[in-house]
Amino acid sequence: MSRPDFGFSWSGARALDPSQPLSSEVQKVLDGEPGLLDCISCGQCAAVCTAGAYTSMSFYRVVLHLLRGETKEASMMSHGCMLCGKCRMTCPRGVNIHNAVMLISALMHTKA
Amino acid sequence: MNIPQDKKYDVVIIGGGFSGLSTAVVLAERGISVAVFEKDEKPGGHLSRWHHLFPHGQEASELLGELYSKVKHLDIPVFTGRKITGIRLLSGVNMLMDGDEVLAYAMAVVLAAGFRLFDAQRKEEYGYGLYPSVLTAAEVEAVFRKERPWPFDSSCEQPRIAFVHCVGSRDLKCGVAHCSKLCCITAVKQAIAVKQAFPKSQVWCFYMDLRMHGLEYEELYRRAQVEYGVRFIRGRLSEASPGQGGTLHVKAEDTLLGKPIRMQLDMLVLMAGMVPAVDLQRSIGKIVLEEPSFGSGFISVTGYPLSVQVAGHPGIYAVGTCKGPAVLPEVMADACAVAREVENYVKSIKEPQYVQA
Amino acid sequence: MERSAVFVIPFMAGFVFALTVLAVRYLWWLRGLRKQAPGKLPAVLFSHKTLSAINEIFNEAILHRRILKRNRRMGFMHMSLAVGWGMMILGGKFETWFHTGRFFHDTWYAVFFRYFEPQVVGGLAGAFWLHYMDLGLLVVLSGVTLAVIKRIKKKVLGIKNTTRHSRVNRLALTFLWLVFPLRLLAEAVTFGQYGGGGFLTGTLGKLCFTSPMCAVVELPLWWAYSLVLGAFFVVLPFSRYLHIPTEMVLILLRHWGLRASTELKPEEGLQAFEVHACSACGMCLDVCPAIGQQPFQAAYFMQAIRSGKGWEKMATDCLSCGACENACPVNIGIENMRVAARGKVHQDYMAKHDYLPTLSTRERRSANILLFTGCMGRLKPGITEAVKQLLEEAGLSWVHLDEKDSICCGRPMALAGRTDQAATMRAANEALIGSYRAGMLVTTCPICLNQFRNEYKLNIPVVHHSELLWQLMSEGRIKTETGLECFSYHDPCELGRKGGHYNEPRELLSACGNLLPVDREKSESLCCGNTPGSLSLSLKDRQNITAATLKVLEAPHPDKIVTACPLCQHNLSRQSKVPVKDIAEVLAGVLISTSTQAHYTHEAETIEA
Repeated sequence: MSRPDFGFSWSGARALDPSQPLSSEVQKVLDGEPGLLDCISCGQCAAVCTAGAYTSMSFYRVVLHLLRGETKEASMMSHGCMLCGKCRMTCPRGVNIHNAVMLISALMHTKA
Repeated sequence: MNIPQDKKYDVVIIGGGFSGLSTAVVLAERGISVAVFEKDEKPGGHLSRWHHLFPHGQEASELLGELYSKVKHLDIPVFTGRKITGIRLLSGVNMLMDGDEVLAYAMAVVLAAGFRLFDAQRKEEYGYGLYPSVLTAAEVEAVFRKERPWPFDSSCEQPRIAFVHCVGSRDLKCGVAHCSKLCCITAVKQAIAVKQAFPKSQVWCFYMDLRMHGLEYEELYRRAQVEYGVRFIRGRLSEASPGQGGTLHVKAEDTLLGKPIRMQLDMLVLMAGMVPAVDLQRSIGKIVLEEPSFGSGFISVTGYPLSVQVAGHPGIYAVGTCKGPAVLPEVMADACAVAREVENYVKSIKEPQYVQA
Repeated sequence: MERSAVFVIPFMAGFVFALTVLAVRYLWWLRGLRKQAPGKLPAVLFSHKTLSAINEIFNEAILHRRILKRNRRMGFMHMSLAVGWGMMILGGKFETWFHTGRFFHDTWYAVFFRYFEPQVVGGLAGAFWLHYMDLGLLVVLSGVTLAVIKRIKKKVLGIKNTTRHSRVNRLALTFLWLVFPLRLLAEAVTFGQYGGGGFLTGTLGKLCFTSPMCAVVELPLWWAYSLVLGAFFVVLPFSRYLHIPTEMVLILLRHWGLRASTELKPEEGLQAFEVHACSACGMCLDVCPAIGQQPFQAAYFMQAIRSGKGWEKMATDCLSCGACENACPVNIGIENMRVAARGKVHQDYMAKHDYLPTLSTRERRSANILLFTGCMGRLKPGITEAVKQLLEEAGLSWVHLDEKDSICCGRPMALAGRTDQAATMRAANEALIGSYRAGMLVTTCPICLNQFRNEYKLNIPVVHHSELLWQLMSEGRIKTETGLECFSYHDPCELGRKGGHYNEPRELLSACGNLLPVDREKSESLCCGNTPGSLSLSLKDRQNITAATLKVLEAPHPDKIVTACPLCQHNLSRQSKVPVKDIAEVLAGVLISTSTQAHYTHEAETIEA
């Protein structure tokens, strides 16, 4: 079905609305790995990432997506993780990254 | 108690760095008898190993020279090569000990033990101590002071140099929770200096957050960007490995673009943070100055910010960076504040009728 | 003598109840058996495997040899309970047989034999059985005494921690403790009234219970004995005492070749028997590096699995150092069960590794050695550089497989309970390794070592660098100066307990300086505090474990703490006051270099093996 022509068009909203409350699935992930709130997006995890050499896996961005409510993006991005744990070794805040990855990538699984 | 007069002072200051000497000068100017004990062979602390200061580029030696001449003028005894390992409190007198030997007696003691630079070797992934082209910020100052050569071929006109912020700061894994506060501006200052030395060089700063809190720091940062072409990348460097021809291969993440960075460098500078130099082991009537262990914090004082007395020990004070990272103007202000309180304390003992100013 | 047998009803009720529940539970657990061993079972039933199982049952379920080896007093406690009780059950059977001439009786007859027949003597042989039964009782009572002492003062038994039991277990424990003193009293009163009895019951009866007044308490005491015994049997199938029969069945099933599932199925197959064979004896407590800090010791984990509550965090927090499994007297596959539990916790976890590059198309290079430093290798350039220096010294050529980018060996994935995903990475790495011609695969990371060795199909040997270096040193291909430096050595769990290499690093260190004894070493070593096994333990908790381990390592005042795993080195060195080095770094530091003569090429001219 084609849209009626109003003489202008619009695309989906790009803007995020951080005032939206966190969804229950995000909250569940945060309960499962409270360390996620420690993340300061320093990027060390992404810099050392074994999977990051081949994919767009970048954990701090997974966290950002998750905390902004973009669970799909967060989940899809984390699927490539090999759980090698190098990121946890270097994370200056000691986030249990592989635990978080397992919880976050399960989000898309449960939806499917 | 029989106190030998030649070892008796109103105030003894532990540490002959900038904070210790400044406090000593302020106290001596107010007629308090004061002595300084310094563990190193010469006074001056970290400042004596620095080349020039942010944000105005003043020579560190110039500033120290002024301070030394005041110390000399006021005839303040500075005992170098004397390490104080503990303080014993006996009938209102503090005994400053080196093991079992009493080095001095004083009514009040001011701890000016300063800080230590984080041991960059603990961040082994950066290869400090392993690759000669990895330096700490302090070593770069030594290069500026011409005490050591550049770690790359001096004929290299376009060296590629990166500064890594927050090495051993804000790193819970290393037991350092705090921000060392002055590495950001130090890196900017050093980046500019490198650019001045090698105008064709490429210089990057890898930061997590840029904290330009001081007077004119932001302006220096802007000038580094605009006038000197220093490039700032938000992201922590993750590892260094040997590259081709003596260079370094480093990995990082550009967190603003969300892309990985792989590059070759000729020099990597680690902005090693400030960590405590001593750990106070307190018991009744006794304080032992120990090596700090993993996660030990700076010296805490009671009633901060109104008071500067070391918690639970009347007559024991702390000044300067042994209480936490601080820049020189802050240390100077602190020295005045501490001196004022120490003076009140000493006078209230000497003249019981003395009313605190 | 004709006496009323009404009082045996509680015992019989409990006994029959226990048997019924056991039969139902065992059959339920065995339902999955056919899938695992189709058609094989009948053949194996009558093989020598059954005999060796019986041998193990005697050694472990009765004599408790593994506990004895670890701690004599604890071993004696367990042994005396089992041996004494066994003596009494067996002796009771023979005693009634001897006196009545019939082998089969009502079950209760042998248990309460002396109530019904207090006066039969039977000459010398009868006296033997009397004293024999008393000896059995005495042995059990000594065990019960030790068990009580253990609850009051652990130190006497040489342990620091005992298991905290659930309510039903405390109830069962109370019943068990009461059973034997009650039997002693009941028999003593009976013998006091009727004369006779063995050295224990008879003497006690003669000394205390000859007064006719005591006749009043005789029957109530036998009632109490019967009641407590019956009550014990009622709670047995729901308490940890289920381990008594289950351990024996478990040993049999194991000898018959059954293996536990890699999925968490605590009510099915061999795993069900493992879960219920845990007696919560507590041998896993003192050895756990996190004891006193974390609640996830194996005894508690098994408890949680049995109750179905709270096992999730215990599975994902545990560091999988393997100390508990090493100490377990029942040889329960604790590690496997934790991994299975992690898989269950994260059953929805999705991973896609279809992006993994195919690296086998590269030209086939050859070298003496393929060097794999693992994911941690890049974070520990010091170890890698030292190994390369030593290889160069020995004149060996190598290819550093993961110098630029790497693919994880897959062990962290497997430890997280996802062996299927680990297989994808294995395939990618096998292809990479297979594209070289080399004599051996050397890895600096014991985690990779175990994965390569146990899960990969490689046609070259896999060795840890400490093995290779010790071989090179024994062959005189690298020489070191023996300095005055003192070392304490930390056994990495993956190299020691899981890889079985305790000696090579020690030999190497002894050749470099002074190796100091450490309080907890070899199979008893502690944990560095950060393994890929633990998924969810918080940073603070991990650091506390590291600190506790460092305390032990720093105790003999070494100049250096040495280890042989990049992960251990990383964790320990971050927190230690003493420098922490890898074995290769220590070796490289005291190497007597002959590099002037050494001829070194990156490309190999000869290939070993």
